[in-house]
Amino acid sequence: MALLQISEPGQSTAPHEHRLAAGIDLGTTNSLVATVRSGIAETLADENGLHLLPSVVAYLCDEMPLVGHEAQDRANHDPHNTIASAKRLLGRGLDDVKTLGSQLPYDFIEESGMPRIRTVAGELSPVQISADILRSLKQRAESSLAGDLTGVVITVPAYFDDAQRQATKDAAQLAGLNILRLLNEPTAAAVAYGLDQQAEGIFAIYDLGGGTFDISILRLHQGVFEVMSTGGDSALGGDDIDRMIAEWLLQQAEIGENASPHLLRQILGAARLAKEQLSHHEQADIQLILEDEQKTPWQIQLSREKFDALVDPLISKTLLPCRRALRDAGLNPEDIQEVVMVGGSTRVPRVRERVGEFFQHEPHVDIDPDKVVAIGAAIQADILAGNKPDNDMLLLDVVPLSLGIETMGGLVEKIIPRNTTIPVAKAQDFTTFKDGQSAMAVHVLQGERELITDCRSLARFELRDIPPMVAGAARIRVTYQVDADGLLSVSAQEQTTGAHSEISVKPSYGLSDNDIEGMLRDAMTSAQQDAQARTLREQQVEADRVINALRAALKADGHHLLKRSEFENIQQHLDSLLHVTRGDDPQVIKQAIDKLDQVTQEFAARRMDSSIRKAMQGHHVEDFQNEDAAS
Amino acid sequence: MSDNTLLTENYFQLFKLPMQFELDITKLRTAYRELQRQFHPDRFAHASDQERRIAMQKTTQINEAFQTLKQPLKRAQYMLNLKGMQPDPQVTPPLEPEFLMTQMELREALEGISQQADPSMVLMGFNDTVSQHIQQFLQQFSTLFQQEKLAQAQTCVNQLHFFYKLQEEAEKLEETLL
Repeated sequence: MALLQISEPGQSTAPHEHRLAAGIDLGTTNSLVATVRSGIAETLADENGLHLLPSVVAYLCDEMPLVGHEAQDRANHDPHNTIASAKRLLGRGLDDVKTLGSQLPYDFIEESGMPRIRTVAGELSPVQISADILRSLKQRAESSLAGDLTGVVITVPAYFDDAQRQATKDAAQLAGLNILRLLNEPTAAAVAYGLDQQAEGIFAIYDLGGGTFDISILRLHQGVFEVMSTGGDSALGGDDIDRMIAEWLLQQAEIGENASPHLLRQILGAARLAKEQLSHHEQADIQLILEDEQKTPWQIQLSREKFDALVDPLISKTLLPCRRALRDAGLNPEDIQEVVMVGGSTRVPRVRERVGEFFQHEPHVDIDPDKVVAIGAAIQADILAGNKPDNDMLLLDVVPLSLGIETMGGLVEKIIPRNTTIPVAKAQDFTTFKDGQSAMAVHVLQGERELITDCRSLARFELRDIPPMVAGAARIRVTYQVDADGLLSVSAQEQTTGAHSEISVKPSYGLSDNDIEGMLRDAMTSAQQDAQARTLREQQVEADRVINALRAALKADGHHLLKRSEFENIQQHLDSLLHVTRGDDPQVIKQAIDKLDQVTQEFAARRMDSSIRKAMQGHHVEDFQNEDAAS
Repeated sequence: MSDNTLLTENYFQLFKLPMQFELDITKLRTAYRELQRQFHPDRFAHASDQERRIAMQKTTQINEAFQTLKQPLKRAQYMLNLKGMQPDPQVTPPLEPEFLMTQMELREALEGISQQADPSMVLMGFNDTVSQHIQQFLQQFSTLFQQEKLAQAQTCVNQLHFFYKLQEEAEKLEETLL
């Protein structure tokens, strides 16, 4: 009999017990659950044999909500109580929802904080709606595995920010799931391929879904998956391909601007069908019923060649983030050993062809691109649950977007740059700007741009009770910590007194995928405008500093160190600096600062002399000589 | 963070590498992966909250150590720090006029690139030039450090900052050209 039961980390204390674990792909349009059974990872079907669960929830009066296909069937006749695409609202604020609201037929409640939707089952948040989807997947897994789940791994887009990750975690908790890890979708896809094939080297994961595009570069070595960089374009996907074909159809059928919504829906449907046909055939036959008086049937053939020409510009747009991700990873296309395709839109042959050309490798398409993410999550869940104590697999993810702090003049100082491996902690010291300043506001931001107005605000808090000190004497250390799930917490501490303040960034709201993408894109195109704006802010901050310092000096020593005429001269230049600071020409501000500097030089010298004299009282000359020798 | 104790005395010992500037990146990477395997929070998915918190702190330190040693400039400064040298921007000795001239010339060249007929090609050439300068200074640092000429080595690191800054700005320009 063993006196002590000793177990290694990750190893179960009862080695033969198999813990039930699942991987969940919580998608915008469809969700999936997968598990590892007898060493094989597979997605689980519902009682009708269907694997994909539409991410739709229908709320009813006094009854349990319907989830999936049944809910989808109600969408047309009960749109207000049938909620689709809740993922788009996760971790968002009311302002974001307002911009989306026009496209969504829901009844939003106008309150501050998290958005809520009014339904017959009460006011619901996106977290609650996502929890209902997760609950349905949990039931499916538990009934098909005949037991309770010990834990799950849930996947999120690599581009999900802090608030969106936190909201996903909250939804899992609400659904009664024990979350082992949040995993980035592209990393999950790499796991699905990597473990099957024992691959080594550098992977590119190209994920083109219905409405978003993600690219991740990973290094795989002896079971360690190291994310090197991520990038994307979240306003780009299969829906855009449909739209391209639809536009072409409108042209060919000579349908003008005033087509009815009904006809447009018909055309979009036909476009989607043609796209799907062209994945397997060289040509698609498209039929439409025109809305003239005779209801004339109209038809046309779309060849593969023409289709390719239509989608080429869209594919080119996805290759730009690919190039950027490679550059961030310090690689060239020829360094990539394997390319993995994820997402339904990678079924388009032209997409595979162009991506293959770009990376100079035939892309992997062996695993169903709809299921690959859930399968990867299931493999990771199985390991984290402790079912494979000998497995060495380890996933090292990165921060997708830089995390920064607001500094003087509305600028963002980056504390953790994007693509930094997590977990990570970075501290930076700041100081007070004014004499006797007793509080400092900490504003946490995420994004690549240099001005706060162009980044996403994640949280604000205040460090209070800073003891009175002269400007620049306090030492305030701000620490950012991101854990292995990608969740951020921030703390601030005054080093000399220990005044402390801390916050975990909570999903009051977060960035939208579009925002992130847009912010990245803007950062590229407007780097030059940014530089201009930055110079202006810097000059303004510098001017403020000079003005404050001079005022304090004048107050302290102006009357006994300056003649009246000197005082007036300085005051005059101070006023003119104050005046130009409000303008927008950094050059003019700089000149005024320089001029003020010049006219105050004598004053500064006299103050220096005066303070040295004060300090030297009671010292002997030898003391200084000794100090010199020592330094 | 409550537990700030390092795993070992310094980052080189952490990865079991000799304390020298020339570094075998493959060895560093292997040692890094090995440590991650032992301490990553995923290895403690079923452990207590406290153990998981400590695992996160250790992994955070391992990541920091890896990033520091991996990047030559950070590595150089770190080695000087271990020898008691601290970069103090207030007391940085004035840079040599010759160095400043080179900087100004490079800056002018960088600013003129976007007006060139084929900016991408010119930028590539520019990056090569900057890389050569960096290599040269890193080499110089290594020699100075070995000879224990620490003050001069610190100056060398200070100068390297200028070149890395140039490289950063060249990257920003590249973004706009992509």
